[in-house]
Amino acid sequence: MNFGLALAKPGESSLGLAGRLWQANLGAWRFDSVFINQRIDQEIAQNHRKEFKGIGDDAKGLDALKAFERHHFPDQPRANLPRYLKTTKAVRHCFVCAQSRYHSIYFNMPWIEECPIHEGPLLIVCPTCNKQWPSADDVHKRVCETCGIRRKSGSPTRLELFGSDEYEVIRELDVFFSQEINIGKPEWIHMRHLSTPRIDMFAKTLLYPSVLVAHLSEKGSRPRIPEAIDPSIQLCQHKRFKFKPAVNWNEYICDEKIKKMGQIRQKAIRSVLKNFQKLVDHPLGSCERDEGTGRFKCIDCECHWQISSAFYEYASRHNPLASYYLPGIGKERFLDPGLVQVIRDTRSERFFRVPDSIQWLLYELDIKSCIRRLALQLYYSNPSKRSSLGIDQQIEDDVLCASQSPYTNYYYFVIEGDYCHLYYPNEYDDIYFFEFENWLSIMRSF
Amino acid sequence: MKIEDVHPMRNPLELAIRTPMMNKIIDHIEEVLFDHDSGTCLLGTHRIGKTTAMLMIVEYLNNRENRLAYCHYFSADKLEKNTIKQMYEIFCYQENIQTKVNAKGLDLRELIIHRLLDKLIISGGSQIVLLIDELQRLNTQQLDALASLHDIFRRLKINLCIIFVGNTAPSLKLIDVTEDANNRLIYGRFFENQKEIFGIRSKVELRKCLAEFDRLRYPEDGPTYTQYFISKDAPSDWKLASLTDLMWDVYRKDFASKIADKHRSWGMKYFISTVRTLLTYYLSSYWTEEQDALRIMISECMKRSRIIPERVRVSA
Repeated sequence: MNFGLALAKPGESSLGLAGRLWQANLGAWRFDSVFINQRIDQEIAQNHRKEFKGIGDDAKGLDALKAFERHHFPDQPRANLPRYLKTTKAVRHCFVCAQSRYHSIYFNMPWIEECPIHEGPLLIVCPTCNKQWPSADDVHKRVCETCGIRRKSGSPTRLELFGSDEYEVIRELDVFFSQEINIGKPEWIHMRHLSTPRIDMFAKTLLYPSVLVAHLSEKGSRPRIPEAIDPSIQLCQHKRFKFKPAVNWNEYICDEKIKKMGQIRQKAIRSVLKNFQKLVDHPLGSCERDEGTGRFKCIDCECHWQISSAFYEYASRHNPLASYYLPGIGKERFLDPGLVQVIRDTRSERFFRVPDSIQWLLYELDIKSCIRRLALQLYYSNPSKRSSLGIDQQIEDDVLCASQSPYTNYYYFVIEGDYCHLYYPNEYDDIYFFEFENWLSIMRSF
Repeated sequence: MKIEDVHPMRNPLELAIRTPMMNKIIDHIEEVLFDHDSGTCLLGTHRIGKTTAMLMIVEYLNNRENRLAYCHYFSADKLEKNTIKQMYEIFCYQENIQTKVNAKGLDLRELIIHRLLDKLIISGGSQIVLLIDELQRLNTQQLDALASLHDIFRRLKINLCIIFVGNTAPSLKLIDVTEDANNRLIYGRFFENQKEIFGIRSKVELRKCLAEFDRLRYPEDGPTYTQYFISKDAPSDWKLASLTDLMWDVYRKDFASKIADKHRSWGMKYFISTVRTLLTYYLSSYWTEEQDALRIMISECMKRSRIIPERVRVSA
């Protein structure tokens, strides 16, 4: 097996690596149904056992190759992106890069709007065959001039890109993500009294540029690298706390804390309802109800009523955070978001204990996120309100449906020395309902 | 099944010593690399140890600290069809690359290019030396394909220095063909600079070669080759190199005249065979320091190395 090192480029994704391997082994690898990881493992076992001895022993397939390259080229910066920034449903790709079989991990980040190399749009489907971009496993099955390995016009070598400076802009991103910023990983309490479902949502990446800008502005410099980021981007709210080691951090949520959680729920719901009232020119709940369904004819009153009745103000293991039914959307049941007690520094493997005040702040942010989701669902399901607010675009089906977690986790932890910085968007504090685009961006998982 | 580790002196295929000629070849390659030349040609008669020397040189150049280039050894082979594609296939075969049945020559060339580039990048060098052994087995078309390979690397701003090693007489025939106006390009790239390889030609060279047996150890922290085999009756500081004068004298007087017209030097194959027999049999079992006895032993070893060819002739 050839490693195609001459074609290696910075910030290469698994798809890019697979494309590179196929290119370097076209005369040797058959276009069969063997998965790329299996193929690589076979090759290593048969022909490269000596070369891979002691290098990433547990790593298999593409990961083994990445470990091999890390071993031989330790000075090359490699992005240390959190998993949730790397995983995505839809692969985005640059047309020109696709032709040269390069794909970058950064293309999938929604806040990068255009290819940093060719400055072209990042597309979700291949413009030539109109199919979604292939994955590392099936890239060789495509017969397409743009996205496939098999090409009718033969397989032109990509070697002309060897030593090209074109990709240096991606290397700068690699340097930034591997050396300049250290993202802390929050750990929630899962268990006992409260069920706390959490998923890592790709939507989180939408906030990412704000985090970068806010964080680097504090340090006195605007970020050098993400030039693709809009310079007028809004800065995030910011809190900072000092490192205190977390001992026995997977604590029981005691009765006292549960009581406090209830208070925060109450506070959040009331604050939302109060702000809501300010936006409406009539007393909420005073409008007429539909005789058939029993719902308010006025969307504002309906929203007010739903919020006040759907949310449980007292936390307990038997009650969810909210439970309601909306026509066209379905039944929604949000479990309690739980408390962020610890931040893990993945580089030094230290555990920061999150101060109580920050834990409550995050809890409140999560509650507000749920309330906002309900309001958004109500407004979006009402066509007249939607058009009056100028929302004419079609939202993806799964943005508002019940399968999505309501907790968008739209906050970030950046670790710097003995301090941990918390960043969260201003939208959490401004609970106005007319900023639908902001809401949508928060709800949308891309 | 594995062949058990045996002392290199008992397995001549494993036995390789650093000869003065080898140092000269390394110096020559370094000069070629310094000038970023496209290639050179090393020619020598049979049995002088060209292949062994090349394998050692490849290992040396690839393991030295201040590495100039990645060095790759390829032994040309001739099968039923002596085509360009077959040359590529043999290269892939030697490199353990399993090619597709329907792979075209272009695909195979791509595999070779990537393999060489991978090795170059991992080695950290800036040039590639492709040592092609058995030049006489190639034809002009294949040489032309190698010239194209050189051009491809040149476009990548990498110097692919192709060093051909071959048997003098048949290789010169091929080189003569390349001197033709149609193939002048090949000649200019690879054969303008030719160097002859020899075996042992002087007493100084012989001393250096014998001293290798006093230097090399097996295992690495064990006794020297000489100490390993020499009889227990021998002085502990006895060196094989002390036999240089005697051995050279025997070679010059009794053998050189009989082989001079063919070899012009003492082929390494015969030298190694001589030393092996001398060390592992005579000096091991019949230790003596008497010059006459030693002379007989050395002479017998040389004879046994078949340095003088034996031919069957039909009587008239």
